Amino acid sequence: MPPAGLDNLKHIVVLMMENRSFDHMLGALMAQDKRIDGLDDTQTNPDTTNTQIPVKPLAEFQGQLDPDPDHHFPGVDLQIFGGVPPRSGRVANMQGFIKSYFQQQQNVQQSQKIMYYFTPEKLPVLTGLATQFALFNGWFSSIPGPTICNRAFAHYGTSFGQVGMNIFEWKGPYLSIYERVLLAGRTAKIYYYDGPSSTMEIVNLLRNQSKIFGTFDQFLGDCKSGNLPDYSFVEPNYNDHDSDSGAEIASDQHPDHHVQHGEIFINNVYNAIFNNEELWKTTALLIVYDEHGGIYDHVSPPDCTPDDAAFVASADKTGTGAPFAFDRLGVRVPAILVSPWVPKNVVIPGPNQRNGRKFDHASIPATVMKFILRDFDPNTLSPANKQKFLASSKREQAADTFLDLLGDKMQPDDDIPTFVVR
Amino acid sequence: MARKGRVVHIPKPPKSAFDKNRPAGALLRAQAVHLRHALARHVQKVARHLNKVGELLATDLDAIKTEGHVSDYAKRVTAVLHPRGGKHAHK
Repeated sequence: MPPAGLDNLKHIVVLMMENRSFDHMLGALMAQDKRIDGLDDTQTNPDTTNTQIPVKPLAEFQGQLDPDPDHHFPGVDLQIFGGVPPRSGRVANMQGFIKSYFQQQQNVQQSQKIMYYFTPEKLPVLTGLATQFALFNGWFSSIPGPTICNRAFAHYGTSFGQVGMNIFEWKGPYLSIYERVLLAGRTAKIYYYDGPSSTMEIVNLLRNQSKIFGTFDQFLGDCKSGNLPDYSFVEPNYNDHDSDSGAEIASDQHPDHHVQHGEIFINNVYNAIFNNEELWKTTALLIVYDEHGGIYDHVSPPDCTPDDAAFVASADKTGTGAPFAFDRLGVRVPAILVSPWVPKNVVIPGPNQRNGRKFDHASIPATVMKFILRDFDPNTLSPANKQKFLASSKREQAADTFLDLLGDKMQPDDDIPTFVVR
Repeated sequence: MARKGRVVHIPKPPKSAFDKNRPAGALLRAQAVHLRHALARHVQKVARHLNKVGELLATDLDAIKTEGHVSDYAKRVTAVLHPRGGKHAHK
């Protein structure tokens, strides 16, 4: 008999924000809860004068991480391995963050800001949800690289060998999770913010699949009317622009966009679900960041099952002088599972802790498939469609899923935080 | 109707947070490249479609003499006008 939370589950919603590391956003929570694998102010990185620079609670909402810290493959390699070039046995010591940021401006003072983190009171929505619901100590970006390839893992369970931002078109063998959900006769949608912000899932998805796209206004309407698809992926506003209703401030939290506005956006998604009582009882919301954006985190990304042999990135693509078999995860990012069926204040241990677990964005399609397969019989599909429906990358096959976090008891409404903008 | 739980007040960012003249970063520039690529693909598709339509419009109808000619032409035009209508009717 499945737990009541899983039994009641009808919708999974994923909100993917941009470019902030776990320690930067949530690391300070360790001061109030030792189970959280965060910061105690002893973590350091050497700067280019060889002075050890500690983490500091000085992160600001805007204007501090400009230029945008490097988060392309070679830059992240430097951040993780401290500048030791690729060779067997090198250690992921997380000692190259300041060195990496220094390369962009040759400014020692500016480079140290990569070690700054937010205090919890500055991020009431993110930390409020993290301490009310389930916080992952071990959710990592899928690749030590930038946005497009990391987001691909959330949609396909692989990036098809891509480690960068280049255009790629993949025609198989793996379908996106949306196509698989549709094959099963269920519903799925990517809600991008609006036309001027558009989507980051362009080449492979926008081309033929206009039916799976909607806007954020439609998401709000679908939540209100109870017509949310079985699976929804929500994209924040990626740029500042004007609209009929006035100035639209970017809400993705990508440096140098205002972090507080991202807080409001996270709250808007959460509120839309919470405000429909039936939806609230039947929905699991995952809030996660695509990658760390070059910002410091102290946990070394673990090894993982390599992706399909066909998807090895060559040395010229990685820019490090060595190929990459997708056998190591990227830097750790914030991830929170919100559902009334999650017991209050759960911390899921990371891979370096007792009973630790590791997650990455391939966990998203893996979890959605588990949810869809719960009562769907793939044998009802034609042999060709069944094969397409069940095909998944090695990384997705190996990815941990998170529906087991839903329990038997609902948290009472009067204890659920309601964030009000003043 | 908003439901109420435990109320937590959150601040609003200042108006100065909005700056549409901020230089676009690598992600947004990459987004523009991907959008243009998708648009080019879309245009290719539309062009193929328009080529097909052009051929059908240029067809010399005086050359259509037999039921076979008509059915062939009707099939190709219908496929353009009603792409889902190409299936055989069940007897």
